[in-house]
Amino acid sequence: MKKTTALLFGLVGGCLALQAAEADRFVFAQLERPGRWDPYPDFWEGNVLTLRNLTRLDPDPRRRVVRLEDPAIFESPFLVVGGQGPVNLSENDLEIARRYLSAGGFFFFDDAQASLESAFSRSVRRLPDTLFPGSRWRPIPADHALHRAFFLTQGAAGRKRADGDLQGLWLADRLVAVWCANDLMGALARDRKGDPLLPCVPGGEAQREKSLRQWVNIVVFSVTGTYKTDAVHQPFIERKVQRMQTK
Amino acid sequence: MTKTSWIVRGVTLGLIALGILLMGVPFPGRGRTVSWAVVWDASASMGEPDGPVSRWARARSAWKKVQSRNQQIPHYLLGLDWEKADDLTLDTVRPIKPGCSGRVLMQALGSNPPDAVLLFSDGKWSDNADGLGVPLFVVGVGSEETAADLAVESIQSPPVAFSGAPATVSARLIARGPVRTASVSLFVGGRRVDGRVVEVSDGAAPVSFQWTPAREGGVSGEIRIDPAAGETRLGNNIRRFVVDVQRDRVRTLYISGRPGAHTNFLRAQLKNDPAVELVSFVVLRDPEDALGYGDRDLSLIPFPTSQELVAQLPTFSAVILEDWTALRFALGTSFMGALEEWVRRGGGVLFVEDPPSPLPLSPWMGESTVSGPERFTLIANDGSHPLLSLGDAKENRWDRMGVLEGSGFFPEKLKPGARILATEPGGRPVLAELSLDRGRSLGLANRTSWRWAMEGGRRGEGPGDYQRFWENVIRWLASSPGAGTVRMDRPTGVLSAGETVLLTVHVPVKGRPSLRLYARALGGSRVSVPIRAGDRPGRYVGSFTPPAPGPYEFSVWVEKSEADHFWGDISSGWDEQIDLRPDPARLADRARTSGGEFVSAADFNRWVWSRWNRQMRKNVSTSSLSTLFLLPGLIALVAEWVWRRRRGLV
Repeated sequence: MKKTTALLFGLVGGCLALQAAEADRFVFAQLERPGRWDPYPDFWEGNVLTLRNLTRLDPDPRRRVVRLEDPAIFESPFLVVGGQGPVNLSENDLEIARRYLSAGGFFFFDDAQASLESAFSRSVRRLPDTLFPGSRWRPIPADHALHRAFFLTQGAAGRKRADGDLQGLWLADRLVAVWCANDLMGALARDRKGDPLLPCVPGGEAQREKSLRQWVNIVVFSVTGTYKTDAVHQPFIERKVQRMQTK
Repeated sequence: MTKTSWIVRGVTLGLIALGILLMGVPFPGRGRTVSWAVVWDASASMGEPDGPVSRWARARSAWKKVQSRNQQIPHYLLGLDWEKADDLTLDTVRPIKPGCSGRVLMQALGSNPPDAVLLFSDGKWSDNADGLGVPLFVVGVGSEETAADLAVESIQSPPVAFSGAPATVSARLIARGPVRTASVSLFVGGRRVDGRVVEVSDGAAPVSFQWTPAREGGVSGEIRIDPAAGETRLGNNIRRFVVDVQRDRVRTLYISGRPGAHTNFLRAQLKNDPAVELVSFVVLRDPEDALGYGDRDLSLIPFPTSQELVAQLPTFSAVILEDWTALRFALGTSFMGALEEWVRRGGGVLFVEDPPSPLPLSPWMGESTVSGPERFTLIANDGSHPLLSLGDAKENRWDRMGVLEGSGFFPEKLKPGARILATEPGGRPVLAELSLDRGRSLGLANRTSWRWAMEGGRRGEGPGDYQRFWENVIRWLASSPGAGTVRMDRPTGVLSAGETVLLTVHVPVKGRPSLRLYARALGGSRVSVPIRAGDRPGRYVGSFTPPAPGPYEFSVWVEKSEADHFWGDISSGWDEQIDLRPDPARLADRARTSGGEFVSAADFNRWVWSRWNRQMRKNVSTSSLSTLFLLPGLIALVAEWVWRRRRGLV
């Protein structure tokens, strides 16, 4: 009897322990700012399962909405800045952003208007120089770890094709921010029934699939860094890339 | 009523009235003399400028205003020792004592202390004067003058570097007065290896240098700022460091069973540590994940087979296994067996697991866990342990580390011989070590140490503490000096020439190893250090007094092999050279808590001194002049009443 009770307690305790292991989960944090910052409020809810089914990532299903002055930003190493309208940061905001990125944080900018001339994209384009004087966005090269983080991807995907490349901001040799001008999240946003919210143009569903792969890569890159550029991966990946190109 | 009665009553009332009027007035000749002692802070900082004169001269000038009326008062010169002094010769004294101590002041006053102490000081004390037992009346000298002054406030260098691999030395510079830039250089082995001009107009600035050690052994270096225009304090423009240069980089195998922030931060840290050669694997998917995609779509590579890993194991110095629950099946029992053999031969393994799971090699025992907080600050049990020592900072930096978040489950028991290194505030273990023959194992029951890096960023200090912790871990796993079962504590704080350095050696409780302890100045020969049993089993203590400043190597030997060594920098004096600003707030606080008062030298004049003397007389006097009148008045009143009663007049 005692053994059975102990076993039951052990099993319950074990289950509880496994359930409670949420501390190092991937947290989808999104920046709240003035204007239309959240055009796809159900985006994360619809994409948690995708990440879980594809990878060993353990994403937290709850989205964390933060402001830059919120100390919780420093508990969220992955921060999405999306929506429409200019991203205006005060001097204090800029200092927080500098500290955040220098300590290991990662920004993903996604323009919901999918235009290089939108107020969002125009303001984001100026950001690197105000954050770290002299720095600027640079296209993320095809052989960068981000394009090999989980899927093999190239260029920039998204709901539209405003920019052929994902743009990256480097601090020393670390990619600390990515800017997609093509509305990547818009390509993956779904309605309550699970149907796509918006069409992908001009590539349709194939473009949506590319967007999914790129989104997975961005998330996986944010938790593995340059892992895929390690020497041990190179021969395997190069062979696959050559096969892709010959096709 | 007779005439006599009226006279007696009149006299009585007069006496009582006088008694009341003279309340608080002491007896003539009694309580008038207050015994004072005048104490002079003779530490080197008192030689610093205070306007056109030195702080010492400013203090002497203040005293001279009352000197003529107080020639019998004893004087003491105070530093880290004390001596009696003659007031008349104090003008010729140069304050050069290496520090000033409240504890020594208590010794100086001895068992027969005066009624009060008058202290001239700038507040640069190495400890407080708590429990003095007499009121401390303090005259503060020194002002926050705006003369140019540059200083190397702190320096951070790795205790261990590797020949051929870049090492980073960083420092924080501070600037006062009209100084906008500082020309700062790194010197190693007496040779300038790098230099730059740093903007310091904000009052402080960080600076970092990289250099690549060429040979093994102790290497001494310094960060030096060129004097600014008009700068007179030059002692704080230089800070030294000493690095133990070793031959090989630490080849490290890091396998994580799940991607996450912990993996990302730790992998980046190991990649950026020039002392580490990293081979890492992260399990990115389970066999049942991404089933709809072909191999050509994915960038994934096959996980190395157990045989491949077993074959490579001897080439590594440290192994980190994270999320073993996920790795268990991928690596298999053959890997675990090989890992145990590798550890027992001298390898170092770290298990990162939350919630902790029982593993043959980890410090945790059994499957049982105890519940505790999900968010907590890590409490370091022994901040001087080589794993937990975070730079040369004197404050406990663990208090400032960010909050960790975990499953809320902690190991309940440890294996015999395992030692808890850090806990959550309730005492449940989070970090523990276990010695396994010639090797060692470490268990970390948490996966959110990345929060330390982000918290450092939030404070504006950057991820330095996080980086230092993981540098320590790797060096400990790789059996770098100080990582074995016999090891020495690294003394914290400033070590000074002429002062005794206590060297604590830890040995396994079982067995009685034959220990020898040595000290050696850079370029000098070894000196044997006497060693004695410490305050608990397994602990031995040696005392060494460095005769001169400079880098010293301290080593402990068991039989004929060196078990541990470290290099320490012995400074030439007390570290008041670092910050020589006066500290009037501290003096005022000491004065108030002792029952005395604080006044600046500018306000100290005859009136203040008189006021203090008067106040002290009130405190010291035990009887009042009123007693002389009040008591006879009362006696006369009673006597008059008795006399009238006998006469039948009442």
